[in-house]
Amino acid sequence: MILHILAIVSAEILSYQATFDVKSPGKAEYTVHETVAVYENAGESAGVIVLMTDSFRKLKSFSGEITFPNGNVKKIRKSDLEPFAPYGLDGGDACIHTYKPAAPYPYIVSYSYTISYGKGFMSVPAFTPIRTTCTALRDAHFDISVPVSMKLKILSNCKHTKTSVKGKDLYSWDTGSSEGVSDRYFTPPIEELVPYVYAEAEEFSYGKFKGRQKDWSELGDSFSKLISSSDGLPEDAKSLVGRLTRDCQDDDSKIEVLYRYLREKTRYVSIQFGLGGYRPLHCKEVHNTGFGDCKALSNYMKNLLAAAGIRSQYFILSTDRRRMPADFACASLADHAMLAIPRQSDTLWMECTNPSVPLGYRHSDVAGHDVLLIDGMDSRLVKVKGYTEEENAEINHYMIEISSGDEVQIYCHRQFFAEEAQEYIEFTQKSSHTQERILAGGFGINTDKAQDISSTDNFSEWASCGFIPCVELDYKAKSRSAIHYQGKNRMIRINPACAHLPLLPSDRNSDIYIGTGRSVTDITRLTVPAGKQIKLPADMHLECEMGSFSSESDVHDGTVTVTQKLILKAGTYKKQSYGSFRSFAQSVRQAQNLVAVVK
Amino acid sequence: MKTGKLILIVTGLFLFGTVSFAQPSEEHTLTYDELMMKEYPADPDAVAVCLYSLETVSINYSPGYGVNKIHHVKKRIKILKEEGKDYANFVFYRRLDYGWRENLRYATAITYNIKNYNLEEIPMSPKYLFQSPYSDSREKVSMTAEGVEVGSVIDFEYELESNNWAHIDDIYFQMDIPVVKSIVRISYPRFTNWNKKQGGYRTIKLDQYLSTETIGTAAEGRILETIIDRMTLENLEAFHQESFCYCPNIFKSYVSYDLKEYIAPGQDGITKVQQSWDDIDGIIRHDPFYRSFKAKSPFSKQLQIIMSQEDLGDREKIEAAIKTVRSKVKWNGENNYVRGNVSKAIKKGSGNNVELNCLVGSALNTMGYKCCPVMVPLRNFGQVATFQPSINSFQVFILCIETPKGERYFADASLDAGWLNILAPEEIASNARIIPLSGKSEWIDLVGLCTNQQSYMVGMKLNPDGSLDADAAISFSGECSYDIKNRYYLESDHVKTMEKTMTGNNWEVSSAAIENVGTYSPAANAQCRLKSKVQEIDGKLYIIPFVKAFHNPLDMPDRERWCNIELPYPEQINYNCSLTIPEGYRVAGLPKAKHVICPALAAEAWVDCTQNGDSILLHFTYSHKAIKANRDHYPQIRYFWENLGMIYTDAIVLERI
Repeated sequence: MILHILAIVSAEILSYQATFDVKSPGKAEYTVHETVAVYENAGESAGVIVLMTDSFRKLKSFSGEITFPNGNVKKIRKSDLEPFAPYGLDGGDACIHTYKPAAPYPYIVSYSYTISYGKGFMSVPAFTPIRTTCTALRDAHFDISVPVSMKLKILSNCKHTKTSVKGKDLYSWDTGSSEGVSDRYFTPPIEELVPYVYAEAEEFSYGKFKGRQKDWSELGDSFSKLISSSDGLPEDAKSLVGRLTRDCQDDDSKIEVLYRYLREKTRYVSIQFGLGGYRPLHCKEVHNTGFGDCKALSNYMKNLLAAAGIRSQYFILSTDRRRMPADFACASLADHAMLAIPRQSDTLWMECTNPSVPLGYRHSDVAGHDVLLIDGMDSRLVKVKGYTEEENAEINHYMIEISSGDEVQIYCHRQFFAEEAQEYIEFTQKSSHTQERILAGGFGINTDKAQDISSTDNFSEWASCGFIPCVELDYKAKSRSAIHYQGKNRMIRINPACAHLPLLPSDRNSDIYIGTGRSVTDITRLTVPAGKQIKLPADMHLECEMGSFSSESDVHDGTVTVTQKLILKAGTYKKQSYGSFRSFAQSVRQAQNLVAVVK
Repeated sequence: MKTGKLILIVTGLFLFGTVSFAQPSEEHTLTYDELMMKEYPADPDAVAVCLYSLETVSINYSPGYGVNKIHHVKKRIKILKEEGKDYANFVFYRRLDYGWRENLRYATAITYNIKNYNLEEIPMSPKYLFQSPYSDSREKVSMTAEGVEVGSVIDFEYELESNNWAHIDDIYFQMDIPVVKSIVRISYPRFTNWNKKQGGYRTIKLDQYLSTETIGTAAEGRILETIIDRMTLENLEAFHQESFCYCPNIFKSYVSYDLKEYIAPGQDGITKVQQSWDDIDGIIRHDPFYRSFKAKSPFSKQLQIIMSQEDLGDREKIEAAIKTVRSKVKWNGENNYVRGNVSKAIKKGSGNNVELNCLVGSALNTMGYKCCPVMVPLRNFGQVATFQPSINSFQVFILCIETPKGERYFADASLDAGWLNILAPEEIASNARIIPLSGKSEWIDLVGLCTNQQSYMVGMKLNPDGSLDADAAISFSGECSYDIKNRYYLESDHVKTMEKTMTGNNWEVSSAAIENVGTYSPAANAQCRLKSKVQEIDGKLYIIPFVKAFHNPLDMPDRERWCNIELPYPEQINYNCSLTIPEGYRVAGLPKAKHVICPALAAEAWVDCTQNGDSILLHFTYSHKAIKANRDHYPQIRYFWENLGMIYTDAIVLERI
């Protein structure tokens, strides 16, 4: 056995051979042979196998082995796979089978398995040999064999060949080698950096359900049919909607009332049987039990709104992937469902799975994402508007009061806007212990328990044009760590906030990716004790391609004001710029630690 | 007749002090106040509260069916806030393995809401009860209540039946939400006798009752006496995790029942299950793993060569023997209590911790040393109650090696980062049990087996561009070497390992080389080059002479706590730093000399900074000897941590001449 140890990777996929063979309509077999060398602990996850089965997919065969450096071999049997249910509550018929090798490094693990599809499939399994960071790929090969009558759409960053043999079309891909992704911070989505093949049949049958997905419009139409079978509120629900909305003057107030009802009466529970992976639980079931998954709750809300005379559209999206390929309609790329309510001036993007999300707020899993609005043959892909770095703002006001000795009192007034506010949406719902922990995490110095915590928001103003959610927090905390003596002088940290950028490692092999732009402004005010002089660090302005930082101080009427502002611009930047970005991040971290000297 | 005799013997043996016949009813009627409750006054932040919890374990005997165990659980949950709706899902586990199998007799959930001044009752449909595999031996059972909203009260109830009546899992009174009232009832026939233990910081109220019933035919007139232990706790706080705590579970209120002895119905004489530590030693001595210590080593040829090397002392020979075995059989990453197959491990070239330690044990005994297992209670499982013997007290075993001169060493041969007397921090237990191959067993304290020290020699140089370079030579010994080696094992890179080590003071690691991190060795040394920037204010340079902050005050964010404080191991830190004053500068200020102490941890730290010609020298020492402190001492420890934090940010100030 030869172990080819690369310096920068923790694991290497030595070979990955997969075949998806469609035997007849609705019946197929997916066979994989993969061999992975795991060199060190950080590469362990590359050696783990995870297989999913449900009423449509069965694990027909499985075997594997681990080869140790001395040539000894340990067999892995099907019975060694550990089964567990994929959803929190274990509701449904899906099951995940997994095996994690326990062996000293380095070792080589091989798996061979076949998954059979007996009752149809909507998508060909995605071919993405590299699934984990710090994993290189030596070579991978993928074959899809389909009856000539089956038209296949393809999305891949690798070239393919097509041949026809005995009434079947054979599509083949060779990926070649890839060094994978090993960066920890500001890493582009892994699926954009590694070889992939997505393939879909233009027509599909999934259990008794038949549909088409030549383009997004057709896929949306297929979904429309699937979803409509779950429509239909029971009569008591309809009359309830009537009662709830009878005093409402306009659609906005009806939306608010029904959204509040959804919040109070339902909760998220994932239960999926059969087609349940794509078809929502029936509205009647949601109404009676008070729970459902994202599909069920969105569809239930759609029906509630319809009963109040408000039109809304169910849509699906990927919470990971911002861009959906315009010319490749594919249901398996989506992992979430929500609701869109067209209004005169804008569209409301409603999160029904967690109705504590304020109305009018496009949360981080949907803002800037492409989504498929489901509306029969009028279904279409649209992009949800994201927030700019100026809108995703955090503005912190710290008033430092030097009390006796070396203790300071810090009065904090913090404002969070748009995606910066997301973490604080349910702040008031949390226990005081959790609130204190969250607030302590905002400091870069040790403080006592935060006191006199109060929180306000503007969530009730959701209906106004250009609404941006904002949470404001006020509290105070004492600290003994902000100040220390240097001879007779006192040194005070000018910014008590925690570091806004991580300590970046020296090596880099991918581009720099900032998914969401943001700005953070820390304004610290400090009253100079009577009869004392204060020496402040010099002002500074830093610029790089990815953003800017400024630190400015000012003394006026015995009060020092230090303003530090960091802006990070969304985008993907070439890795050649990493050195300057790292230096920028290091300077920002150090600037946050600067001190003023009180003489 | 036999049973009659049995009852007589049992009554004579296990008579209880004060028992009562009148038992209180455990029925807890749902009240209007509970339904209307908007917040829990004792904890207004609680998202949900357990209004009532009843857990009963009944060991039943009937002549026709023998002995069985019924485990019944009822929890009444009140949902107080949106976030509390998570408590409308309820999960428990049942055993499936042979001899332990539990049958699920029923599991239900009923939701109660007030609707138009009427009580609405929504039973859970059976289709919302889910059973899924959890492990080889356990199944996860989950259920979700229907019609739940803020204000709902939910009754969850289930019952498991098992023939494995001799084992009762520990029962916890406390949850991660507040509990208003919690009752645990354990009932068992008088012919059984149990070791009982309770834990947590609250005293559990115990009442005992006796119930009698006639079993068999009336003509036989046999009486079965059953003891009922009824334990209650009220107004329990929600339990949450805290830092510096290895085993939070032991601070939760709980009861533990271990079967001590019983008289099998229809038989004469007592069957002792566990009676004394000697009995437990006996069980361990009969286990195959223990016997393998006495077997001849399969590597005897190599061991003979080691023994023949006269220039080696005993310690070196022991180290060589461990290295020899580890070169033949590598640790496969798996851990077990005592289960292993030594010959399979040799064939494979890899084995679990049991197999490796057994192989080393037999090797050392073959060489003429005395090597035996030491049963260790891992710290994350809590401490051993030495007054309550139980085989379940231990989770792993390590090795005790004695030389002819009477020197003693301890080792876990499976640890890649370990060495003689260097164990994993979880293994450093104060009550481990040595089971010698001959002679009496003994308790041993594994804390303080070696000196755990990190020493830094740092030379700093100020560059004309205002940056600061530092060259650090660091040595790690004892448990400190375990930590650095373990970190390297996770990072697999010298620079990344040192980046994770040099934290807190914004130094960047430019290069690093660490010796002995990838090998089974007693210490590690590192050479490290670091870079930082100097702050300049008003023409003065502020230089922090610490390349890392050894203690982070943010690690103790809470002002109060309820778990005791536990540090990984006793430790000593020596830090020496020298800075050459650049030409054209003079000293305007030096860090103050300080001495801070913390009696609760037997800890102290000194820092002293002086100018010597054109050099500034800083010397810092820190040590703590105790690794455990009562939670009452937490304010003192937190204050000490804060003081330490300030030492690491004190600056040397230079000004232009």
